Amino acid sequence: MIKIIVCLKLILDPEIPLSLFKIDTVTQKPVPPAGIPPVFSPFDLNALEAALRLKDQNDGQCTVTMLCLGENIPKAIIQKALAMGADEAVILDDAAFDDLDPYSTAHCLAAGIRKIGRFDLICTGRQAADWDNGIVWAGIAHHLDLPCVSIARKAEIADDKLIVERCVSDGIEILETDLPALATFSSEVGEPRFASLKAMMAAKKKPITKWNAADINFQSTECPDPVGLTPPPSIDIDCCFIEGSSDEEKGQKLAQLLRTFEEANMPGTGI
Amino acid sequence: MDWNNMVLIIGEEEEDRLSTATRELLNLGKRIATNTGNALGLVLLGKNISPIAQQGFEYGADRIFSADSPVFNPYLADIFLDSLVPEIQTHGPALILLPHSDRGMDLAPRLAFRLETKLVTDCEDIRINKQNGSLTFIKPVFGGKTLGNFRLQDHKPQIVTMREGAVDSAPSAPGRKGEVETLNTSGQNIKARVRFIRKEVDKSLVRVNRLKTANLVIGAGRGVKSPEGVTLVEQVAELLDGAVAASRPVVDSDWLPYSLQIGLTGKKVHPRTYIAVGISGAVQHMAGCLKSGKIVAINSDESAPIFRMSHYGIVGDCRAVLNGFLDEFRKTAPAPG
Ligand SMILES: Cc1cc2nc3c(=O)[nH]c(=O)nc-3n(C[C@H](O)[C@H](O)[C@H](O)COP(=O)(O)OP(=O)(O)OC[C@H]3O[C@@H](n4cnc5c(N)ncnc54)[C@H](O)[C@@H]3O)c2cc1C
Ligand SMILES: Nc1ncnc2c1ncn2[C@@H]1O[C@H](COP(=O)(O)O)[C@@H](O)[C@H]1O
Repeated sequence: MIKIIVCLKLILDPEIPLSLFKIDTVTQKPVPPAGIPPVFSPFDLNALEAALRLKDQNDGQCTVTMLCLGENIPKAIIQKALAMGADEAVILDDAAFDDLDPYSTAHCLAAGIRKIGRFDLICTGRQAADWDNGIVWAGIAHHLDLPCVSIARKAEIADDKLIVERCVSDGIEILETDLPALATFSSEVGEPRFASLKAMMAAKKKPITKWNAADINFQSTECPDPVGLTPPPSIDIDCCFIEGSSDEEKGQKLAQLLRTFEEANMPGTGI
Repeated sequence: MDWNNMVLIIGEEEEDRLSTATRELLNLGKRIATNTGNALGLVLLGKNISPIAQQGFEYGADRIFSADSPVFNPYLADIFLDSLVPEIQTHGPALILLPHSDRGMDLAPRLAFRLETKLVTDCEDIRINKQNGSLTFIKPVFGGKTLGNFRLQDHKPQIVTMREGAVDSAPSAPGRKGEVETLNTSGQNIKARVRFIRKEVDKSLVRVNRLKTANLVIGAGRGVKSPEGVTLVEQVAELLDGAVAASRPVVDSDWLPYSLQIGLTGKKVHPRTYIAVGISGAVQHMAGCLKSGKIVAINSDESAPIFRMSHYGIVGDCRAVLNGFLDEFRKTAPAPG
């Protein structure tokens, strides 16, 4: 039996418009806007999808466990992801887990994985789309002494080996390692699958195990390093609109504009 | 100059020279080293790397370390880590800089855990407190909706990966020379737990490379609606001798290859002109093109955020606009030859 654990982080929805994004000036943390539930970090769903494809390929011989760390993790969101096809979820839920830095997060997730016990593959996202750190995966691999490959778009398991396609800027590298191992996944995996209504109903019966800080022997010792949040430089450029009686005419005018740039050989223009 | 608290760059090569990102780090590193009274070091591991390593002096390095061996090519994290960790422990740098490249983003966090220190990834700037030499690392977070200011002053070494293109390349001082020091490691006896099988170079590599050199880049977004819409964008690019890029939904739909995605997790481009076609202007996309000289947006929604970041805008259906553009351009284009 191949046992896969997928680490998924719940984050502030990264697609909310700037107008809804507010920072608490005291805590220097973003304030989740009312009525907008957290979402799984998109790359973590890519990791889940990659794991579920492995499960499909190894039909009946593979289980997938979701692992999430946080505070007050809503059960409904976990069940929705379970409906995609994972077998069970383990949630590490404690007030002490609120907003941990990546080092403590890695420590806790590694402890959670040790408590789960046997596994063959850990899948994570390339980076969580809140702080875009891309740090925690390396910590988990370090604490559990696992070989690892980052930024994969595909994984396959054959003869106790993991074969991974890693995305690099000019192509892909095909890498191999023995199991157990860890891999991080990127959007190149492709869209995560949808869950059918039937699967949603069935997911309500899937086991969810909840552990708190004491269950994984976690004591908060580290004092996180200071972080301040400042607004990004405002880029309010005065846009010059090209008008015309039809869209075609506007296109013609754009061509003329680019041509005058070219003729004048104006610096700062493209052609 | 303090050798023990060196600013150390883990550099990369591209073809037979230091990579652009490495030269950017040399510029930034020099500024930090000078302001904090420390030396600037550069370390390079690679196959036939020695002649390239020497170039580091031209770009301001005070000390260069290299290990020349075929085992470093292709890059495997285990071999790099086992080679670098003992050297870093010996030399005790205060700050390690890496490019936020395929390799840097893979190596830096592992290095931090091995050295029991901390890091900040994908930074855009480093501020130096001139009084006490402390550093603040600036990084866009929450998809660029805000900037994180990080400090790691209680950790040694501090490790940082820098976004490519965030700082200018170091000026070259031809003739500045020095002695490249050979590292003790040959990498030979290290067992890599991850093995390299093969590499498949992207079929669209020529187009990917065009993104770096073209004066004009034209990006196709979800608003182009179909592969036919992409073809139109490609025609315009060809006429203007420009490069084609894409937003994420376009590559997710397989209308263009993933390697042409620009943005936070895609390529970073800085052409003289960027034309955004049917792109809304999400921060994650703009992270890849905001450094362009001029941005031109074509979008049917006059309230699209992209217009707030563009120098020229056209409100309209992109296909009609591009057709008009092509007609006009072909009509007035000089006869070939
Ligand atoms: C962690 C993370 C990382 C990400 N990284 C990236 C990245 O690297 N690169 C990237 O691009 N995205 C990235 N994204 C996605 C990003 O947030 C946006 O969802 C994406 O950039 C939107 O692409 P778009 O502008 O093409 O599509 P949309 O936002 O859907 O915009 C389409 C636009 O087309 C316009 N339009 C519609 N019809 C027409 C027409 N007929 N003519 C003209 N205009 C029309 C619409 O008005 C709209 O403004 C990331 C997201 C996350 C969460
Ligand atoms: N709180 C968490 N719960 C579960 N997984 C996490 C958590 N934080 C980080 N991860 C995993 O680690 C990856 C990298 O996270 P980060 O270093 O925060 O960017 C994420 O994509 C997740 O797969």
